[in-house]
Amino acid sequence: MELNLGPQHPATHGVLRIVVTLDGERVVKAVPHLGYLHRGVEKIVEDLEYFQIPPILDRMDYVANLNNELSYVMAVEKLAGLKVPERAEYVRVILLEFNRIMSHFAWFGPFTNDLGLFGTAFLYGLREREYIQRLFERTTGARMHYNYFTYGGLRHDVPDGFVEEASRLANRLPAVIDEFEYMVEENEVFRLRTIGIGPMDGQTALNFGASGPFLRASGIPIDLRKDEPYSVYDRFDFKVCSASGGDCFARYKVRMDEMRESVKIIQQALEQMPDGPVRAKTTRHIKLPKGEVYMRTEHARGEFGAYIVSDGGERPYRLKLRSPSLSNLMASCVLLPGMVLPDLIATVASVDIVLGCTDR
Amino acid sequence: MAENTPPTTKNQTHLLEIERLLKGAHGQSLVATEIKNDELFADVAPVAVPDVMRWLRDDRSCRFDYIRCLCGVDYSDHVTVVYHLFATKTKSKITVRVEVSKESPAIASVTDVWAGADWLERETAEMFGLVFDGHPDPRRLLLTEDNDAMPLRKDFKLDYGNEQSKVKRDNA
Amino acid sequence: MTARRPLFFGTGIIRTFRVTVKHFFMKSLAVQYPHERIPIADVSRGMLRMKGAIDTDTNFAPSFTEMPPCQARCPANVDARGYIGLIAQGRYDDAYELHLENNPLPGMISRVCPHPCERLCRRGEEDAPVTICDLKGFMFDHVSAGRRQKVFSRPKIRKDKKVAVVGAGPAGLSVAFWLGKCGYDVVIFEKLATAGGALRAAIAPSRLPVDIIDQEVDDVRKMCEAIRTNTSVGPDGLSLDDLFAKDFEAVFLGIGAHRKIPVKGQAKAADAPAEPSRAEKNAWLPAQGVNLDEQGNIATPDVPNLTSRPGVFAGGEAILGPGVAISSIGCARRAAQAIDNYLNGGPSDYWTTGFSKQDTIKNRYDEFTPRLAKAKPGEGVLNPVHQMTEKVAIEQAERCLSCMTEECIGCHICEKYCPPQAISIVTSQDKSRRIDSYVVDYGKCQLCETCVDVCPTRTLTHTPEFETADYGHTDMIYDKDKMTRNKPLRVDIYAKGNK
Repeated sequence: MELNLGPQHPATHGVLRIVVTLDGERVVKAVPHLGYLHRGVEKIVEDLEYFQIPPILDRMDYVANLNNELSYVMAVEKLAGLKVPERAEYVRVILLEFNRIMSHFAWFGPFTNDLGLFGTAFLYGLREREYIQRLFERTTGARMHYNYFTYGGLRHDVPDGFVEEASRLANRLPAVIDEFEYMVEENEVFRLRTIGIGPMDGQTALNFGASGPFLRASGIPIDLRKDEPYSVYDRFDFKVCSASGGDCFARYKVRMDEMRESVKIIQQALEQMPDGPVRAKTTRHIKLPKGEVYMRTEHARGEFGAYIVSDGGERPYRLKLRSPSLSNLMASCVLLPGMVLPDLIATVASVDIVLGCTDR
Repeated sequence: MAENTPPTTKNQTHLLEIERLLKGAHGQSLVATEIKNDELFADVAPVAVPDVMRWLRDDRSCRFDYIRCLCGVDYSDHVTVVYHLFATKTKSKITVRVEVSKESPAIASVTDVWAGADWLERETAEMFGLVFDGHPDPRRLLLTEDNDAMPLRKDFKLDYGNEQSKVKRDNA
Repeated sequence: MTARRPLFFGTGIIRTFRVTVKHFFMKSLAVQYPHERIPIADVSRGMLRMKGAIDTDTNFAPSFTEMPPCQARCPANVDARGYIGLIAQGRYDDAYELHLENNPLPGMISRVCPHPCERLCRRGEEDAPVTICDLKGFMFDHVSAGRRQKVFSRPKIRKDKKVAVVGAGPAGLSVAFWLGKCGYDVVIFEKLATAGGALRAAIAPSRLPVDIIDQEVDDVRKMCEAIRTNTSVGPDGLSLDDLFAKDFEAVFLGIGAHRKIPVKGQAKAADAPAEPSRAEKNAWLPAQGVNLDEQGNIATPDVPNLTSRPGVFAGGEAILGPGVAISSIGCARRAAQAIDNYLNGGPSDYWTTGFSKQDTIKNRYDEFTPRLAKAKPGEGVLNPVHQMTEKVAIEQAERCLSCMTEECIGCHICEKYCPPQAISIVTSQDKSRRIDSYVVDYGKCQLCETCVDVCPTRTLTHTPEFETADYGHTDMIYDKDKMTRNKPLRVDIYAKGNK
């Protein structure tokens, strides 16, 4: 039997369509179809000036937007030789880690929903995300599409009381994460549907170019924040979370641990944050020197890369965006044949894909 | 150029070592190499792609076991396919560039070297009109099957239209 | 794989239920409407609003409190936006009069100034900065003799108080001009045979022609009782006590910094006699009750420009140390105000009835809309000979974006930068170049703040209105009138659900 899963299906988290060939309830073949959200971002940006591009990138991975912006603005900064003020770097780190936590909350809720824990954990996940979203709204003015980073720093400084509010929020988060674990970890439904489901060994994941929590859950502790430190990440004390299972439960566990580490980073950054300007002296209208640069950062979902080829003009000659969701989805799709259908849902949900990012 | 200046970092020493080994093993298929901003760039002839890539993955001192990114760049007379590789053990990286002519846009697939190149190659193929020889599943990825446009080539221009004036006209 | 722990059936479900009960009484969060959230927002990024547009009848009164970058950067705060706007309309005389409020020596300054203003010119981010300094020179060359006569005339109401100005450099001449405008009788004492100070002595005539110095010195002479050249004040001439004995009620020391003047060809000769240092040159002053600071400059500890001796003021390089002439003029203006305060007990009418007070910026821009489309590559290149034709000058002046006026001037920059191309502006092609239509399409707008960020006049702002949805696409297209409305665009649309 052939089953069309998606593109409009509540369990596919976006417009992902998987054509599943079933034998009873067992999956024989699963063919993903992408491109329902393809907007040609890489083509559009070739017609835009460097200054205009961050708002477009916000619309790629709309759950962790600031992480998208970072790779791009750092690539521009590297090519233009811009030095970002210290304060801007710290604010960036704080917001990025909050953004990562937000993204994981937004993953946690729907994930439990897909597993059949209908409602409770879903709403709690989104509610905690809402608190952080308010901080972002106060800081950037927008709830989702922030457009806050720009090459040379930030668009404007953070508001008064930002440090107090951020630290209050950060201090509160560990208890919240504990509660989430308390809520689902001993739950039979949750355990039966995650432990041992969709296991992937490390070498396969690596070979498929997987990254982020998905790769770390397979026992390979690669984290760009540690391996190739960018921004000011080398000044903070945090550990790279990994798990050995490679199954859905390991992916859940890695994300939960990662949020705790993010909180640690936020608390350290808030303590160390200096005063000063937040935007380097640069014009909006810039021309980058001829050359190419590939800048990668640790996105909430894995390695997000921005590859800029400049011909010396005011617009990028080519801007390739390496999407972590795409590679992770590709890797997870080899797991699907042989599963029962509900496990397929659980596995795809545990990868944490955002279709805006895979399709671009 | 890079050999004249003494290596400053450990990473740079390693890159010089890789460059030397690469020249020794595949000297005739290398077009050029350079080290810039602590990164190694290698231009490789298209015929040698499978050999060089397999060597880069399997050689003891290289071990580029991770493909970060694969993309095309349209220069007016040719398309360059760019591979960003990463070695998880040594944390070193290399950028391999391969020029493919537009007349015969064929290049060997590297899916048997890194499985992760699968969808990236499919995307690059449809966006630039390339053919990756030996690809196990050469369908289109993001575009529809009947779409023959090559959107990321430079001769493909976006047509924004002017919807606004259209709306105004309709309203009047 | 994580080891599976033995557990009793139902434990997890009971845990989930406990959390549910615990949170049952918490204040709900997700149902808050935007207007309830707004009080926490410092910056909000709702629908766009224009504070004003030059051809729209709005209730908004621009404040003009924030200086444009060129004026803020200028050490003398010369209103470059203002006089360039006047030049663009061909009103060179008015431009000159406006310029004189902050700098009475535009001719000399236009030839020597390093023009820090141009470095910050907002237009430079688009293509090239407006050539402010060259336009200054053009304005000086084209001002009519009649207006010059009128501007450099001493007011009829006299204060009958005498002020001595020591040194006829840029600072001394400027102070003399402003004090003359206030109605004081000013006498300038100059050690050398001619007035002009360091500008005449240290600048090559090829760069600063002598006739320009003569012209401006003559202009300032009309404002004074006299310029006494070859009259030294100091150890080998008159002392400060002598000046006060001659009924001078205040003295301004604009005696420069005694800079070493490098002469080509004989620089750095080891056996040349050592130039006296600043401290040595100023050594006579402490005996007269005027203290020096560590560098040998005149100290002005508390009140700006007032030295330790009452009635003796100082300005320019004498207190700043060696620098650019425009800094001296900025310092001199503060000194003139301080002297006026000292002698008059408060500011004279001149400071409050200047040209800029009669002719508001709004008036000035009524006739003039800068255009972005006019920019051609290389248009902003410096004109090295300081000689512009009238056509070039007006075209150049029209490139000014009149930053911070808080009124839309139709410069098309937001249209150019809008990533989704939601903004479209039509400016008429005739001489007036008014904004025929300004349209924002909220069907496309991303509320990304790019237009607000690039707007040079700061007229575009985001409001805390988030509801962009409407019944049809045409209703989501906002024109200029809707954009400049002061009221909230949508009244209490969210409140309905809450009540």
